[in-house]
Amino acid sequence: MEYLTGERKQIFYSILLGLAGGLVGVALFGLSGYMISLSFFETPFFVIILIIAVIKLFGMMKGAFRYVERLLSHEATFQMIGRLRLNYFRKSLALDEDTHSARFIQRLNQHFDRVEDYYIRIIYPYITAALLTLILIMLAFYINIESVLLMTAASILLLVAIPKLFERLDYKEARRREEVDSTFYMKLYHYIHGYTDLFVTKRIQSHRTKMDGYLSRIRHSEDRQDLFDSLMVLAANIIQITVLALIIFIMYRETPMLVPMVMLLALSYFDQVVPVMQPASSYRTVKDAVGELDAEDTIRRLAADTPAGVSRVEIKDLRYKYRDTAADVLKDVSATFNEGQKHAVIGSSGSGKTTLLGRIIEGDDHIHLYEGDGKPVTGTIRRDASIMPQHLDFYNATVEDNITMFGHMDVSPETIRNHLESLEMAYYAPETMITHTGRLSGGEEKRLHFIRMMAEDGKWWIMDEPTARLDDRLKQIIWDRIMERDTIIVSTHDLGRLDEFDQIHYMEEGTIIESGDYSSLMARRGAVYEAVMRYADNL
Amino acid sequence: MKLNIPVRQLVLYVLICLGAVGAFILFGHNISEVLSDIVIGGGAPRAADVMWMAVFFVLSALLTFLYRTVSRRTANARIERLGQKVLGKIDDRTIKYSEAMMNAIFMHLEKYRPYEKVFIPTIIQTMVRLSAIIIVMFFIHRNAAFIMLFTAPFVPLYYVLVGLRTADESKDRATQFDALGTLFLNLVRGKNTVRNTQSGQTVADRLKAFNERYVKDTMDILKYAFQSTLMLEFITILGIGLIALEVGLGIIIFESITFYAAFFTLLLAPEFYNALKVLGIEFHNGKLAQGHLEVIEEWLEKENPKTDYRTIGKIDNAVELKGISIGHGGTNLLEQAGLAVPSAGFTAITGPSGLGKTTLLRTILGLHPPAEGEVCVRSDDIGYISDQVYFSDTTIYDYISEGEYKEEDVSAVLDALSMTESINNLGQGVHTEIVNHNIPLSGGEIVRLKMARVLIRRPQIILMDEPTEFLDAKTEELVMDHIEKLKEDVAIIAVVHRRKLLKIADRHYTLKGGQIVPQEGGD
Repeated sequence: MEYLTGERKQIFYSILLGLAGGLVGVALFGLSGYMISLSFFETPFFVIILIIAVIKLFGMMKGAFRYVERLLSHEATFQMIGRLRLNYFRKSLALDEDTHSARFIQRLNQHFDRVEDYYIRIIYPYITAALLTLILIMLAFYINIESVLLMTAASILLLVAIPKLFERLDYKEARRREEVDSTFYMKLYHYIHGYTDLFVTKRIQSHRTKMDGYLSRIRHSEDRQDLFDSLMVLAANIIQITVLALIIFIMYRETPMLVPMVMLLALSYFDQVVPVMQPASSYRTVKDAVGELDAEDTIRRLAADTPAGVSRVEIKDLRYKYRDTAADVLKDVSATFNEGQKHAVIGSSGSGKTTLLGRIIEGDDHIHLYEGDGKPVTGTIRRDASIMPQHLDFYNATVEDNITMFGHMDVSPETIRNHLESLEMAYYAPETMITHTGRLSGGEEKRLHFIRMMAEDGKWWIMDEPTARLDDRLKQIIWDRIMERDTIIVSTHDLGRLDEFDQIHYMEEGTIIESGDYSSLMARRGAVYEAVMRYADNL
Repeated sequence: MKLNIPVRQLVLYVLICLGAVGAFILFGHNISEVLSDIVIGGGAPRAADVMWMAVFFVLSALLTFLYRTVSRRTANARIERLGQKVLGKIDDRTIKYSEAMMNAIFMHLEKYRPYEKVFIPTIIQTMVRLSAIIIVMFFIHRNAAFIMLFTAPFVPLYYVLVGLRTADESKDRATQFDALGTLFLNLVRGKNTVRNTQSGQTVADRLKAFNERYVKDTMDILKYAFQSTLMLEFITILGIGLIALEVGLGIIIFESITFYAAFFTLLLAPEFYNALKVLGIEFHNGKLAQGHLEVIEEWLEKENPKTDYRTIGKIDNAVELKGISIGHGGTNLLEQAGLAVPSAGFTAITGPSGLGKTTLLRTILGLHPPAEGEVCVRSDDIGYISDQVYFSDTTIYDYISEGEYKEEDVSAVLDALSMTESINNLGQGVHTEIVNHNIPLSGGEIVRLKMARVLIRRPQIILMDEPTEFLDAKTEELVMDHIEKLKEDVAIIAVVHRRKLLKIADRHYTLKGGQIVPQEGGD
């Protein structure tokens, strides 16, 4: 329940209404049973009419209660999911975890699916059923102590023992299933992405067989889960008939008149309680999912947004290695980037260019930022920079929201339209929805992100491969725009405009082996000269 | 909605359901007898009656258990087959829609599952129950049966009039909810850009506003949607109430009904109306699930490109293309073009981007059927060094050997490509695992890995897409050395971007005007 703090009011009322509805429902059946017993014993006619009128009234009430209660419980759930998402998003912003992996997103999705069930199917019906049980047990005191005991025993079996017993099975099965799903997800991802290679090496068939194997494991898992559910219902039914038979033997001597009433009452009670059992048995599984998603309510506002006025970036003896690699990716890198200069970082792929840019963006103990008057600046360069990372992100929203980051940047739709036109993307309007983010081509992503950077208009522009996957004409348009900026740090394989940079850094095996301006580097006939010559050899 | 299941299965389902409801009715008969003895007879119930009551109830429960197990197993098997069919639609183009494909398997198929597993069996079960109860009712208490017959049509009628409208609207809401979920996942996935643009607070506020608006809109719709459930409830109550009234009157005024019949009627009436309610609710769920089936069917309608269009092994040349037209969709990149590549030597192909160079290679590989013309290859043992590479979870050893070569062979090839040192630098040498496409090697080294894979195999034909990004000089030298040696007895066809490679070419073609035009060798 601690996960539902924000929705207390709705929950309180929905449980209250659910309980009232349940009671009325049970009473309705009980009354009709009582009515027929009475009718055979010369009861005044109006009593019967009265009872029937009450039955109808109860019925209407039950319907109305259920209506309001369903509205409340759904509202509570939607609000809870919204809140969980918001908190999760805030939390993930603060973490360095790589959220691009397909597996991560798949797990998150799976967990949110489970959470949808949390309140509507598990917590709320269970509490309602438990309260209903308590009230009925108290009412059973009017009949005799045996019936109280019978009722208590039956409800403990139904609401506690059996769900607990199956909870362990359910939990284990859910774990196993999650594992199958995760592995299958990754294998399928690899299968799709490596298809060409698998085809060429004639391994499609064996991989297909493996994929089918996962499907059949999913089927078996579903079969087992279904078997558990069906067994639970069967067990409940056995308890039900035992209770019915025992009621007869307990009651027929002293209160025969009440037997039909209790009988119908019991049938109705079981109708309400049995559907609660299966969801209750998955409580532990779902609770795990909710626990994993629920971050503390971080109300604190996210980092401030004023520019810090960085005018110099100094890198001194920077070493860096990724968590899962043995060797350093960057080795003793030193460089200085000043405001007003255009820097290019070149080198063969894998030489550490992307990692270096990443370090400048993230910040590092060996990277120092200074203001114009030489005062050190704390924090990262992000506040002063527009950034094009290697992996570009787009969201399920309009082009305008994607470019302005949901209104964070203040740009008119007109300006966006103009940018789209000048980059030959006029087929997109600011209000176009980007629904299938996977369907943007690489070139379209580059251009949309480029417009995003123009909208943000940071003082520093830090870009990883800005012209990759563009055709020659678009490459020139993008280069023209980039060269209009004062301060840029660009890593690139496209050396066509190298001469327009103020400083060029050549990286090899994680270190900068050559730095300087274009003409002196060309005169030196070193690595940069080599690279430019080799580039000119391209057809 | 048409139930899409085989007749044999339908008959089996109906029979089991009939058994279950029949047993339940017999249970009702016995319990009514027992209670009649207690209330009217004022004595102890007959033990045999109580026993039969229990037996029939248990029988009904067992048959229901059987029904659930059988129908759900069948449904799971059908879903598995559907999944297999969708997987069968994967080809080398699917990579562009990989997200949609993953969604089809992991989301839409799962959301369609309840249709097969719950909807179809429930509809059959409910129909059987409704008919059985109404027929039995005619024998127990005719008036009640008439009341049931009279009130029952109101439920479907109401659903047709009001429910359908709200069903469509709530389907829209469900789509919107999914869209909101997708946006959230996009945001978590794309958090780096949010961080880089420092827009966390704005985005969080918008996400919150989106959710609030969604909740408000949805609650408005739900008010209508749940009203239909409320109306169903009212119709049910009205029906049960009418029957109770009729029974009450029957007992007191007309004295026309026995206790047995009265109790039996009141036991079965709620069963009848509950079944009707279930029908109404399931109708709605069924509609929702069918939306997911539509997405899956879109995949199923896709036609896989043919992969057996090549003639293999009937020619002396390595590759012969005769009058082939290839393209995408309606537009042809090559029109009736021809090419013959002898069994050894280096053939270079050049031309501006987008004119079909890589598509031509894919046609030779068997991945892209031509619109017309003949593709002949001497052998389908073709090595392919692609511009792109995808390492699925594998080790360097597995990648190069594909399980067919010994470790010494792999090491020898890696040594020939001067990779021994950098491979040894990795944690576990050639057995270092590459997880999630995370390759601890430089671009040049990856090209050499691809080369190693072809060198170890020595296929008769090698196709190659020269990388567009620039390689380090060392890799380039190595690759050229090996090509020069290989081309003496292997046919190499390469898409070439650099003049340097052209210098070792024996033949040079360029794509121009939809034709494969021979160029003067070298430059």
